[in-house]
Amino acid sequence: MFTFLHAADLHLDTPVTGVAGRNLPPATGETLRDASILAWDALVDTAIAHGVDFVVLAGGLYAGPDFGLRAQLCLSDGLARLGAAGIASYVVLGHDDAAPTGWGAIDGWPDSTHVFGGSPPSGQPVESVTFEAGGETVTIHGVSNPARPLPDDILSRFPAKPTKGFSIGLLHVGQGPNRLPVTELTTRSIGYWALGGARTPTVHHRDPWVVEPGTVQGRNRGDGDRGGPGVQLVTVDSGRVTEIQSLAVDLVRFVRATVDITSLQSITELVDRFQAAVDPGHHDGRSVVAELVVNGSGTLHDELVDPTAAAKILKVLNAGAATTPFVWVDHIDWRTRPALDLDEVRQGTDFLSDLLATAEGAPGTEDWQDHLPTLPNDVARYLDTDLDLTSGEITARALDLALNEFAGGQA
Amino acid sequence: MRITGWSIDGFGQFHKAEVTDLPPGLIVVHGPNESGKTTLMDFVTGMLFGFPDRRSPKRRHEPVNGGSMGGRLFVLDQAGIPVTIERGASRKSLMVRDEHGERSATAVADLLGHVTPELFDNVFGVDLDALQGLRSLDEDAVRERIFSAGVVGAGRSAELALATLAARRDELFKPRGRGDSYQLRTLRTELVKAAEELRSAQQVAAGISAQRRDLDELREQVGVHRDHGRALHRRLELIHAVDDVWPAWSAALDARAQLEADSEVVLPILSDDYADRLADARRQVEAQAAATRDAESEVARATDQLEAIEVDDAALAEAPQVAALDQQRGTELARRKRLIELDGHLGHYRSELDAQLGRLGPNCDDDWLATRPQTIESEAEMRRISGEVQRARTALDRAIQTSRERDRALNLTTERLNKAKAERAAAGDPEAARRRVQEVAALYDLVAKLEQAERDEQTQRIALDAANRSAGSGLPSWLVPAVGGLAVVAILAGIGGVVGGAAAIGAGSLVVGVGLAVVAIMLARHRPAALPTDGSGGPVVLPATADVVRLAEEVASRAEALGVGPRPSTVDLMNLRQDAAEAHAAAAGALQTHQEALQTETDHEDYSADIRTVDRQSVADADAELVRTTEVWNEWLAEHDLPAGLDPDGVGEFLAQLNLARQTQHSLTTYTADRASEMAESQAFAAAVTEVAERLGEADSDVIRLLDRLVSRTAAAREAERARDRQSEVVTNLTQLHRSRAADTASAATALDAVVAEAGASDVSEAEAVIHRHNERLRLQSVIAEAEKALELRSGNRRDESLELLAGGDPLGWQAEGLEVEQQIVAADAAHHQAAAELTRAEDALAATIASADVAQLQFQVETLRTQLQRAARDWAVLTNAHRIIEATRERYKRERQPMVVKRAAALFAEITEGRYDRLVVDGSTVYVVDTASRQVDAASLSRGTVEQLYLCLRFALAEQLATTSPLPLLLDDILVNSDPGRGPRMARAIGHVAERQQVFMFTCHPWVVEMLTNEVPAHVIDLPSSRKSA
Repeated sequence: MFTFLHAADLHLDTPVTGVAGRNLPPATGETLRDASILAWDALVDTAIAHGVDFVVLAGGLYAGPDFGLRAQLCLSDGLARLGAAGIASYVVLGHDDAAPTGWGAIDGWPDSTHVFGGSPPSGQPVESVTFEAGGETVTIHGVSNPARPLPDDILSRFPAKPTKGFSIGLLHVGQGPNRLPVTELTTRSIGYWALGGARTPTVHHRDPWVVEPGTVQGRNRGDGDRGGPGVQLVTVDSGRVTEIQSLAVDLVRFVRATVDITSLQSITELVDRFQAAVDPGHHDGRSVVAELVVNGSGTLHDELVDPTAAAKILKVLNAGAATTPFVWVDHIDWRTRPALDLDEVRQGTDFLSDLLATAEGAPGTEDWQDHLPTLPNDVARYLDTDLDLTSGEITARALDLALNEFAGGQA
Repeated sequence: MRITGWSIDGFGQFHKAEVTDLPPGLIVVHGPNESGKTTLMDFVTGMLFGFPDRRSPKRRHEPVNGGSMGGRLFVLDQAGIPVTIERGASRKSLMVRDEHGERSATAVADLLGHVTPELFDNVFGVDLDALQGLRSLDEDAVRERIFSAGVVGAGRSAELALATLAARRDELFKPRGRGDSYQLRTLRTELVKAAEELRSAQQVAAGISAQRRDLDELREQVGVHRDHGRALHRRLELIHAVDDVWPAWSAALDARAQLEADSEVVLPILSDDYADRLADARRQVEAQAAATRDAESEVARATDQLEAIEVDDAALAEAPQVAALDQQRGTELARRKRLIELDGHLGHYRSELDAQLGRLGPNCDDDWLATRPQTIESEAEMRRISGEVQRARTALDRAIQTSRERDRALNLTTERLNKAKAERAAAGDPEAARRRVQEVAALYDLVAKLEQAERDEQTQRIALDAANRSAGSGLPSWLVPAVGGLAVVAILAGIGGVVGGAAAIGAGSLVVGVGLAVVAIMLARHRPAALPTDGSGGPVVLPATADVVRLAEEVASRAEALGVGPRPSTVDLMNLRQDAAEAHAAAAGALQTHQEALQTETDHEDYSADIRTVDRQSVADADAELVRTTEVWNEWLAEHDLPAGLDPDGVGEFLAQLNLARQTQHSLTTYTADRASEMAESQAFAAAVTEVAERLGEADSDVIRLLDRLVSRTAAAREAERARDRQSEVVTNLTQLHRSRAADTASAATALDAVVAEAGASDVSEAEAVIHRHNERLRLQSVIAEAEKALELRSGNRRDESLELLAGGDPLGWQAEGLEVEQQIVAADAAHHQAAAELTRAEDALAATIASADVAQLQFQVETLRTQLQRAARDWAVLTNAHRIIEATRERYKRERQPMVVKRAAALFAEITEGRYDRLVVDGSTVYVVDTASRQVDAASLSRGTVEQLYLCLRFALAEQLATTSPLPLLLDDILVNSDPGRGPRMARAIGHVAERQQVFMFTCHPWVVEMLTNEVPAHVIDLPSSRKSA
């Protein structure tokens, strides 16, 4: 019996995105900056703690000097630490890894590390390494494709006939249009496909196993990259996978939570809901970076439209921003509304009904969007074109804002 | 929609309260405070829009007098159809029905013209707070409030909303603004800067390969410099080695030549240590001879010293006795100290005893003291007898004190009686004071009755004036009977027509009859009551006037009797009442005090005579007892030989002194015996010392000093004896040593002769010449060996190169070359160090570049700034859109709705100001009033009272404008309470004009407001009972 750790997509020193970090404590900022590096260190510690026989890394490790050089050093140091603990490492590089010229900060890989070569000439099998682990013969077939897509026939280079012992296929299948179709992998004579490229842990097939472990450390890039278990601990006994366990080695989780104020009676209740949502205890004890949304309409709305109240809530929530684990609420999206029945308002004849009609472009109203000012080019150049919102969403938010100005009670 | 009534099941204090058949126009709801006006307003609003739930901050008005919460509101819809709105506490309880049955769930919204609760509160509800709030605002705020009253009507003006949003938007970015202080531009600038820094850091990282190549080149350069330096160092080392070896090498060349020349002479073979042995033998001979001479001199010197020592034999003989006496020295010194102490004690106790005897009495001395008996019985008897005297003295003192205190008490009673008499005389008669109090109370009641009569007279006069105004409206007294008669005739004719078969005519007559009856009833209601007259049609005499005159006369009469004016004021009455009450209380108090003092005096007169007799007898008895006990005491003193004047009070002290004197006398006796014993022993010691001293011929007046001299002399004698013994032993030893040294000298001379013979020499000088020649040959051979050794040591494995240079034999040339090579080495080392330092710097830089977190930090910074910029831009877009929506709405509102509102408000305002301001002009967000002379005035600059009226006109106009689609009743809460007498009625008329178009409910707690409104406009009045009654 032997065990190995399967990981991919370390994305060392790739920055987190979508975090504004205003007034972020410096130490917390450094933790966020170094999260991928620290997670890699934790991965190495985990491998040593579990006493695995070897580690396989399926690409997505380091994208090149545009992301600095220290990642190379950290990666090399971690591999050396594994080697010092008697754990061999088997590595392929993927299309989003740096080309060989981009690895100039280190002189080479530690002796305990084997980095698979690129695609062999057409018709030739991919490189394979055979060794003994736990009294069993293990063969790893792998191919690196740094900074370029995999050739179309790459699957045919993996063995179609059974070989002695347990076979592992090591490959970075990537993301996007060039992603290799994983459904075809089961046609090859591989017991465990150790893949890389997916943001979330995915078991595509069982026996033969086709597994993508997900990212080791989330980067808040979309819903699929918010963090969580990103390492697979695989146990093989007598040539068969007997257990797969997902492990988390990340430091920071990215959380998005929504609270509806309709049934809430006090700010304290709202803060309690928020704190429950971002409590590290609900996120495996990890530090939390959160974006919160508040919606609904209720008695709290009038209190929440006061910017000072909103600022105080944010301050209260960020009281733990400098602790370990930390909680950082980066942004609260205030989407509450006054308690108005818009259908009623539409049928009225007062200013509010006119406001609604104007915003919704009712017949007889002028097109208010005709004279909208725009942002100057020097600012707009640095923005995503849709500002994260559609024009409809902006209009809806603008209408809420306008209604708030008039439905907030007697002046 | 118009409200025609309500039926309240339970709401606040209301329970089973019903009002029906309310007319259109103005409804005045009047009631005192706490009668439920606000509760009723909230009931109407709640019936229309729903009651607030428990979470709402608004008041719920739970029923307090029973019934379930809610009820029914009776209204007429737009088509004039009666509709009932029924609600309970639950929102689901809403039911809307008309004569045809239940209406749909949206029926209420249709009735309300889809007006929201907020709009209803802000337009159709006007309360006093909104008006009074205007008084606390500054001019700008008033301007805004006036403008919003007629433009938006939603509680907040569009202008204020636009300004708020614009301020927030412009903080982010102002499209035509200047400078980079806007948040978006600041963020963009920071982002650009961070991105540039990131690019630089990325370029540094990307240049890692070139950095490595540069590093390799540097390493190669360092190697070249290092090798060149090493070669120069080797050459210099060789030169230095040859230069170092050259002196030895040159000497070796000379040594070889000398050895060659001396090789013909043959020398005897001498052992290697021959020269040493010869020198040793020679030194032995000389040393032994010198030692022998020294020993001889020592013997002579020691003998002289022995002969010089003298010993005191007499002292030696007395030494044991002196030592024994010296051992007693300490005892004698202690004895002497003890004697001094004893003398001190004896002196002290002698003076103490003398003083104590003196205190006991003039005839008390040592002998008297010694003969005093020391028995306890005598002391007890003495204390008993003296105690009797002391008790007699105390009894006498107490008797005298008691007598004096009783005298003082009798005197005090007499003083109190005199004072009470004086107070009673000053206070006057209590009965007269009581009568004056009653008279003042009666006057007080009369004045109250007079004031009530005057109020009644005033009320009757107002009623009379109103009746006169009504009577003057032109209704003749015969009109009601006439119309009533016509109505009866018409009805009878109608009945007759119907019965007689002329149904149409009959029905018409009936209708006319009923109509005439209604008119007759209304005329009857408005007909004034019968007016009081004097019976002849003359001037009216009011019933209350006679009472006023009668009561005023009576008040004047009683006031005069009490010494005040004919119509005393309330203050006069209060002062009178207080003065009378105080006088009555003082007189009654003085009378009581006097009576109490009289009683006390009577009691003491009987008692004082007896008590004085008893006190005198007590004093005499105590005095006799004191005389008797004193005589017994004096006899006892004489009998016991004690001082005659001893006071019984001092017996304790006397006995204490006596015991003290006895103790002192005992101490004195003991110390005298001790001194005699010590003195005898001291004298015996002195005699022994003197005896020894006399034998040695010594003498001194002080024994101790004499003993010191004896001790010193015997010690010196003993020391001289010991020195003589030691010197004698020294002389013996030195004599033996001298003989031994003489023998050693002879042996050494024999040994020297044998060594000289070994060299084939006849004497020491010849033997030394042979040795010298032998040693010279050895030295030359050593020089040659040293040179070889030096060459090997300095040149190591470079012997051949060294020999080659040495063969040249050019030390000057070598030095010159060495200097030159040293200079080359300095230059080569400098070049090497420079290259090595550069290499170290480059390696450090490379390591720092590789380990640097700069790129990661800048990436993180760029991403955070990008996110901030993105959010700020999004906020800006939302704010800009919101601003634009409100702006467009406002323009439409101004264009389509505002002119009608302003025109109607101007008409109402012109009426209130009696045409002083006949137009309103709106310019931007400012409302101007225009007077008849076309002068335009900013409304905000008007007086606050006028501003309130303009505000109401705009609110009424806005309500009317909205009423074109949503004709809802206006709910006005006591808004006329601050109106001045001039504009109040005009304001009432304006409300009447509004009420002609839509129903108006005016809630007030002031009867005069009700009167003013009903005087000016037709109104239906609902009187609410007070809360106590309604409960």
